[in-house]
Amino acid sequence: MHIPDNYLSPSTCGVFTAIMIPIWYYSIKKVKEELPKNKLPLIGVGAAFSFLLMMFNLPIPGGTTAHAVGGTLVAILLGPYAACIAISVALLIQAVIFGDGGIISFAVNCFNMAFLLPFSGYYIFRLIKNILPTSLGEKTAIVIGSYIGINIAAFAAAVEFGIQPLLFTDAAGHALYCPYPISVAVPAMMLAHLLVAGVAEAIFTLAIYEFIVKVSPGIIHNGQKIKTNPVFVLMIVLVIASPLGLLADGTAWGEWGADEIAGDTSLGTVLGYIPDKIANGFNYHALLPDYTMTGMPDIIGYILSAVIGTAALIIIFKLIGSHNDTNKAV
Amino acid sequence: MIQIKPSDDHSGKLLTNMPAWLGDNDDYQPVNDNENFLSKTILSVITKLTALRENSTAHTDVFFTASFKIFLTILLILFISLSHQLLFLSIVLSGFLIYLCSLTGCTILRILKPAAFAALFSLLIILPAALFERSSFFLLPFKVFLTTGAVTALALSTPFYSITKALGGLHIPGLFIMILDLTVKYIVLLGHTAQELLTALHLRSVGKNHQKYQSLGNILGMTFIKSQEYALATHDAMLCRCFTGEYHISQQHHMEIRYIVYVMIIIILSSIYFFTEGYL
Repeated sequence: MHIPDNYLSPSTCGVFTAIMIPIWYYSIKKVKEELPKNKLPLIGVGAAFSFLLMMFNLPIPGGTTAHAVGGTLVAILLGPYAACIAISVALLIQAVIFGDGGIISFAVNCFNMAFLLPFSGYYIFRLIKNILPTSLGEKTAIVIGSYIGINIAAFAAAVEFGIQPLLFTDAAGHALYCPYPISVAVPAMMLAHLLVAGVAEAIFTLAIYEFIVKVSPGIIHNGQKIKTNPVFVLMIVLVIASPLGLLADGTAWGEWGADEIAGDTSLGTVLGYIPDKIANGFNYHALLPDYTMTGMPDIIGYILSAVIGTAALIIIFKLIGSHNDTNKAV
Repeated sequence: MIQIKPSDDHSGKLLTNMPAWLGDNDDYQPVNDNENFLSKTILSVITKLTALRENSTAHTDVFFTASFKIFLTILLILFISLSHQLLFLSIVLSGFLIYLCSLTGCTILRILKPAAFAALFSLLIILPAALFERSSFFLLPFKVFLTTGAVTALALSTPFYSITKALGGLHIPGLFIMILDLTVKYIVLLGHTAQELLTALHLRSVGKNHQKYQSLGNILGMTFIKSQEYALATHDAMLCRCFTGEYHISQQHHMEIRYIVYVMIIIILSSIYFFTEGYL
């Protein structure tokens, strides 16, 4: 679901940046007002979880891959506004350090995964939980909320892909950006997310939520003790297991490199050309492209990337937390 | 402001005995002066002193001795400097980040600030090289970031007195340790003196001071004179206590489990270095 650069026109990205800026501003305001100060570093833990979940690529029939996001999980644990910030920062680190998701299309990815996903997932969860206020009802709410949340995000991404060939083509009729119309993009994206990524998201969300309720209820309910050690143990387990994401060796739909797209057969036949802007557009060299490092086995590169990304997220939110404390003290 | 009103006969008599200027209204209004210079200097001195004082009371890790930490840091700096591969540096970076995760936000900031500034500075210096060599020009700032980070982390996690003690144990020349030891102690002592002088100046300043730089010079000059006095006093104290400048650390090493852990850590670090650099 990470839309790379040059798949969307700069104007599309501009529109989404304009939409996201007030959302970020309002989210930061709400988090400052509502989230207790001792929970601020937990946004980093939430972001780290989301970062790790996005590294678990799952194979999809047809040779592509998809992944869970964990947006609903963070929204249920810390509120949708905190989730919006957490996932935005996780996406920023992925884009800047690991080249996963574009720099220009960063706001679009944030709109899909950091706004639509956690907010829709969270409010669906709340709605169902209010209708069925039992333990089973809560579990059902988590599963349905997270499943629908990720699918809404995937649908939005598909529509964003799909409108590109309608709006931007060259004289020869070839698409300048993403070449697939809505009729191709929506089924391709939705199939992957309805069948695989959505199920994975629901399972991950429920399992991690249940684990956290058991070991550290303070994260969810105010006034109880927050134990972070078991959460960190879970995180280490996820880091070590992250190379499982390498088992699915295809590229996610819509995340191909310029060299892969010409041979893609989503339209039924081979596309046969590289859209102009994808071949000659904005090119950003990430520090650790695709979570790998040159000259080392992919598995070690993947684990190191997971460690660096996770630790960086926790550190960033610890720094923000301490900055807020000193501001308050002054 | 003094105001005397000749309201009745009794006070009127009094007034006749007083000089005329005493009866005038005192309408002295001190000109507002910008005292940013004073308050900022005092604040920065206090901040530095607090940091040093916090350091002197920093909790000592029971498990990792200061000697081991110094040895590990030196070894790490050596390996980072000699490394040609991004892989080794990335492994060190991930270890460093994990360590940072276990600290509080304030401590992380105090470690990252100097490291980031040093890295930025070296990046500026090496920037012209980017025109010719695009692939590996960022290795140097990366290395600077890691080494500065490692040294700052060592300084923040270990009190100065245990660093000097550990240096004595590592057979570093006594003169070197003494200078280091005295420097650190004197920074605190002279910082205190300067802070007191600044506070005194602050309290006695009324109206506009046109000679701010002269005041600063006076304070620094006074601090210097005080430092001479302290130095003489320290010398006398050293003579009285028969201190010759040699640091004798009695070392009684018994075999402990933690030494095995130390050796393991060093072996693992060395093998990662030699393996990633292709020597193994």
